[in-house]
Amino acid sequence: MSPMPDCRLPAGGLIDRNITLNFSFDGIAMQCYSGDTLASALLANGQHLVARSLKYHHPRGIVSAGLEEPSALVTVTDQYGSTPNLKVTEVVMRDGLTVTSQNNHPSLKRDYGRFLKLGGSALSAGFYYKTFLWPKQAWHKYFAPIIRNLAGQGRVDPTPDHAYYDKRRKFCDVLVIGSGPAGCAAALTAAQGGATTILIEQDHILGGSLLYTQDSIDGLNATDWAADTSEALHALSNVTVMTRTLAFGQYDHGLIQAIETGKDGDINRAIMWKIRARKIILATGAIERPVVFPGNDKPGIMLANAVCQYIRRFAVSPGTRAVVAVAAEEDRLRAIAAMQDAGIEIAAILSPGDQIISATGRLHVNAVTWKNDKGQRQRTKCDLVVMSAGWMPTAHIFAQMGEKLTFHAETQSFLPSLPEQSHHHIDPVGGARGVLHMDACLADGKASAHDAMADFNMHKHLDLPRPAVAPAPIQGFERGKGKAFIDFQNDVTTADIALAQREGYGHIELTKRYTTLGMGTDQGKTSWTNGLLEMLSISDMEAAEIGHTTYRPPYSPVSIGALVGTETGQQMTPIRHTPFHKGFADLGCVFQTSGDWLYSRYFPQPDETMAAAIKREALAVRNSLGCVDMSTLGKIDIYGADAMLFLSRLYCNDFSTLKTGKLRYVLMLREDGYVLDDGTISRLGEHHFHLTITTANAGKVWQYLKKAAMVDWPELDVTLTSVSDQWASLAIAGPYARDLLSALKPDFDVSPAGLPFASVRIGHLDGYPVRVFGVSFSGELSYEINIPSGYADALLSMVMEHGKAWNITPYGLETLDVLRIEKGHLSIGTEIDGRRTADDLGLGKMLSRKKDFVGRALSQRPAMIAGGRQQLIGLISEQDEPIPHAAHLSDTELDQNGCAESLGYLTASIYSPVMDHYIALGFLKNGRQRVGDTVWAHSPIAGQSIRLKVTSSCFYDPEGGRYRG
Amino acid sequence: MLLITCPHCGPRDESEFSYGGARRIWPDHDANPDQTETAMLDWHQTLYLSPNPSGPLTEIWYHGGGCECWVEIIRNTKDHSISNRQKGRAS
Amino acid sequence: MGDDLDISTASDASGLLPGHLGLRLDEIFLPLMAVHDTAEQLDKIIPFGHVKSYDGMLHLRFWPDMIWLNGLPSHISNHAVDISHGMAHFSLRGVEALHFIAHYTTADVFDAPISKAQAIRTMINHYPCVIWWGNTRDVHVVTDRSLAQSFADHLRTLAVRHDPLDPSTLPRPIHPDAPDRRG
Repeated sequence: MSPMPDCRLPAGGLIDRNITLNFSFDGIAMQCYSGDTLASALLANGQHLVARSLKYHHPRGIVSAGLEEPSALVTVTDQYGSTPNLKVTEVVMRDGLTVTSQNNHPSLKRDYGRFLKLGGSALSAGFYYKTFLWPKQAWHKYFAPIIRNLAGQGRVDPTPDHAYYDKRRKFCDVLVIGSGPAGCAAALTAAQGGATTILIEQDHILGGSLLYTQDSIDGLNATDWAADTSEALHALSNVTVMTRTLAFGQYDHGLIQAIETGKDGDINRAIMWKIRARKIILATGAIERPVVFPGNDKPGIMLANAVCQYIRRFAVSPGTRAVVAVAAEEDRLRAIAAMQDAGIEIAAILSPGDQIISATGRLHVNAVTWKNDKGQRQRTKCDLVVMSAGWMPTAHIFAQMGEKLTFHAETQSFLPSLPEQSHHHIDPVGGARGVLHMDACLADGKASAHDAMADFNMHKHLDLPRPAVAPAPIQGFERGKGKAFIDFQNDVTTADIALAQREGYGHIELTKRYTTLGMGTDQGKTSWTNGLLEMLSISDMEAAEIGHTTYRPPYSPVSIGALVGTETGQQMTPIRHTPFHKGFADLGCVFQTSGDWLYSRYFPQPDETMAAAIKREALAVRNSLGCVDMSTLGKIDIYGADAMLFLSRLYCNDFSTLKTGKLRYVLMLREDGYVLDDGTISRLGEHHFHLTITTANAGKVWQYLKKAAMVDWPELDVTLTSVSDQWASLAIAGPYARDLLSALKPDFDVSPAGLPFASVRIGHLDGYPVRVFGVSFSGELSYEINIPSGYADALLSMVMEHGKAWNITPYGLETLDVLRIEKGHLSIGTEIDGRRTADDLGLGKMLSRKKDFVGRALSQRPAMIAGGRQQLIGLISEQDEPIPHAAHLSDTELDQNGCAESLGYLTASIYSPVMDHYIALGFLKNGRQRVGDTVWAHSPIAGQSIRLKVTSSCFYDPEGGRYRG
Repeated sequence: MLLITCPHCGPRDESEFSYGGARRIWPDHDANPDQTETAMLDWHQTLYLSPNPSGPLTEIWYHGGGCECWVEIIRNTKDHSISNRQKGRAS
Repeated sequence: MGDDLDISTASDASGLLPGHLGLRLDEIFLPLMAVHDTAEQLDKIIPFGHVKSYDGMLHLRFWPDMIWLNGLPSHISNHAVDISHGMAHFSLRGVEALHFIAHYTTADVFDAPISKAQAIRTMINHYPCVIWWGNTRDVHVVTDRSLAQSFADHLRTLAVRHDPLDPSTLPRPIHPDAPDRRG
């Protein structure tokens, strides 16, 4: 095998020749220097062919030297894993990388996919809308698997990602995006003016286009000036320089999101930054426009500024014999000078107006044929074609906030319009708004920064003139007939654009989607303007009519890990723990997340299944004694002369006669008359109340109460204080609950007369301050003991110790649910789901007729009080079979299509330990009138249909003797 | 993420707030219970037919990550510019 | 309230956080009373957005119509609600304590009015917090008691992601070897 050609120039470049890095490409060992990108490293080793195109599997090389690279996508593997679809131009070299090409089989050179070109015009735009239509079954069986193998780019690494990601915030006065001449000038000016400044640069060193120019600034070589500026900015205390940081999106009110990658170019350690700036100066430069001609996608055909970069910045020669097709004179001369310095032979220099017939070559360009202005046909051999049709401002971030860019004929590009209003947060400068010359960019950046300082009143207005935009060359290149590429990444040709027009998809949004122009990972950076110009040339539309499609973040693909940061696994959202968590864990509790909370689920004994545990726990509560955590309920302290009035407006039942020391079950409606929440109000004093809210609604109802007090009725004298976390709450329930309470050394009377059902007492248990509420969710005699959360451990110990006499059994969510279902008590999300009126729930009589309350007016709407509504009922399985969850209730069997009329559905279904029977709760049309009827319960998901008998929703102790003690 | 000017706390990130919709002035409470029909129409109007302009909208946000107050701001629904300079509690 | 009753902590935060910043996170019980009054009356005691110590008692005012007091002065007759057990109070100490937190607050703690007041109620990622500091090395954070353990775990997760020796983060706002002048 012949040795790798060495295309490294003997001297120059911003690389460190003392540090050699090893890497491999498709199994071939190669070397490069520190400071190389993967692109310059491959070119230094003479490797031009790096990819096969998406659709046609054309051999592709490196077109650019930046993020606009459309063709050269590879998979990079390091010690952490592999990442597909990286542009060779964006990978900063470090030692030990394994690089593999994508989208080819069996190899890059001998790819079978190249035979696709025999499909010819059958594979033009939108071909998949017209093919694979018959036979129908053939799609899944034959075509889809083949296409799946042929299509797509790299493969995702399925191994777990152990990298450290994070999301952080920064604030500043001035944020400069881009560190070319305009960006550096802006950053220096803002910093010297005293503004807190952040300079973001996606490359690993500052300088942008200054890194490969021969120009001078202030008598200093521009590249050296960039290095000096970098040092100066790093030293200033009001400046933060962020290299390897890509600003990928602009959001409202001066927010920029950016991804900073690891210091070795390691994208596996990435931080997402959210930066809020008072002013953003967008100095992202411009992207060079490819020339459109047949065969323009072959390896060895490169953009002019890329050729300059590889020669000057990386000391790499991209070829030996070049054809120059650069429209603008200054760009042409610059490219020629660089190539001459690199010893590259200039075979031909095309003039604007020449017609490029074609570029030929199989795996690499080997010749160009063209017709000059005299009509003479010429051909020359070459291994490098340098092309440029002009420049396109990189104004994507500007446009992401919905500002449309406008097409300017004199620049032949889309330019951002400078907004008149001063509340706009972003100002494009330099190449990003069409100003191309280095001196003009320096002046533009400086002027913009001065404007920003003046807006902040840190400076007086200097009103420095803003340089004019650079006009495009008057003439471009013509082209011959044949497949000429507009979008390299998605293989969109001039023929596809014409096809879209012919078939009626001429509107810009349709052309884009029909041809997939600009829809690749490069978002059309090198293709969009050429696409527009092509459309202009074949239709009679105006440029302004055609416009451009919507720019969306991210500007360039970013790591999803960085977008997630730490929010994965246990860190995904904040988790709330109850004060009994540790104590319960010591008792063997199994926990589960329920909303924000980590909740006790059940307390299995060794080798006990969940079902067995639930049965044991439930029977213990019904027959003896259990304890359960009620701390997650919302709790509000309400005080004030108008506290009772405030509450009576919000809750629909009458409780104006509620006495101190008593509590009432209350129901809250929404403004539209549907039930929102239930809870309890306890009166602690004439103007003092304690309100409980269901766990699920705690946050929502707290905000709602505050709104009522602050916005709707600010005239009321009422104060609200959240005490949800202040009080740990443990309910002790069962026939022996009062016995246990007595054993806890209360300093108050806990007899049936002293602490009856629906009352509250404030006192102490063994010296610990408590509030004891006589409430029952389980239906047994029960007391909810509230204690300040820091004493929860002590309370649990007391309860477990003294409760031994009655076999105290801790229970969790599962058993809590079983017990409340047996009683027909309501739960949020199941029975109270926001679509039920009080009457649907069997609570119609609670609605007061004596007062006005929120929801009263709209609860009277005809449909809400009409007959035929679905009402809460109980259901029992006649054959005592398990009842499928979420079944629909019907009077008929399923017909031959599996359908029946649904008259309601189940909200809960359990095995009831105390009744030793399967029961369910649900809603049924006219349910209360149908008690005793038998109905069908259909669950197509479970594949079951069974008969159920309709009963009252309270299965157990309907008179309530047990909880009244 | 909007930057919302809380009248108490100053400009703060949207993530500190929860949205409360357009500012609604509800019908008076303790209205005569016999006036059911009128009350129904008033509540219906306020709840379902509140203004939905393309332009400045007066709306309320709850500043849970700050002063825990409901604040009234004016946001332009076209461009999200926020323009209120009121100090003090929403009322 | 019994003085000799043991109060359990809400979290297991005690001592050094993992990672190289050398930060310490400790949970310390802080008695707090919530007292409501009109904004005008409260403005006479302490301005909005400040934490101040009067008569040896900490006053915290982040609400127009409510104030937190570390204790209860006898002259206050307004209704006072004890929230000592509803909040968890953390002490975060270390040379870069405030700068570490500042990466994650939704408001800018170095913005002029806030850095002057040395106090704010804002969010640290998804946790609403009251934060105050006498100097940037000694930061107090109060959050809901039910969030305390999750908050401590979250700070641990964040702390390991900071490397003061990473050259791209230089210069550090405060050099890691700077003398700790907590006194």
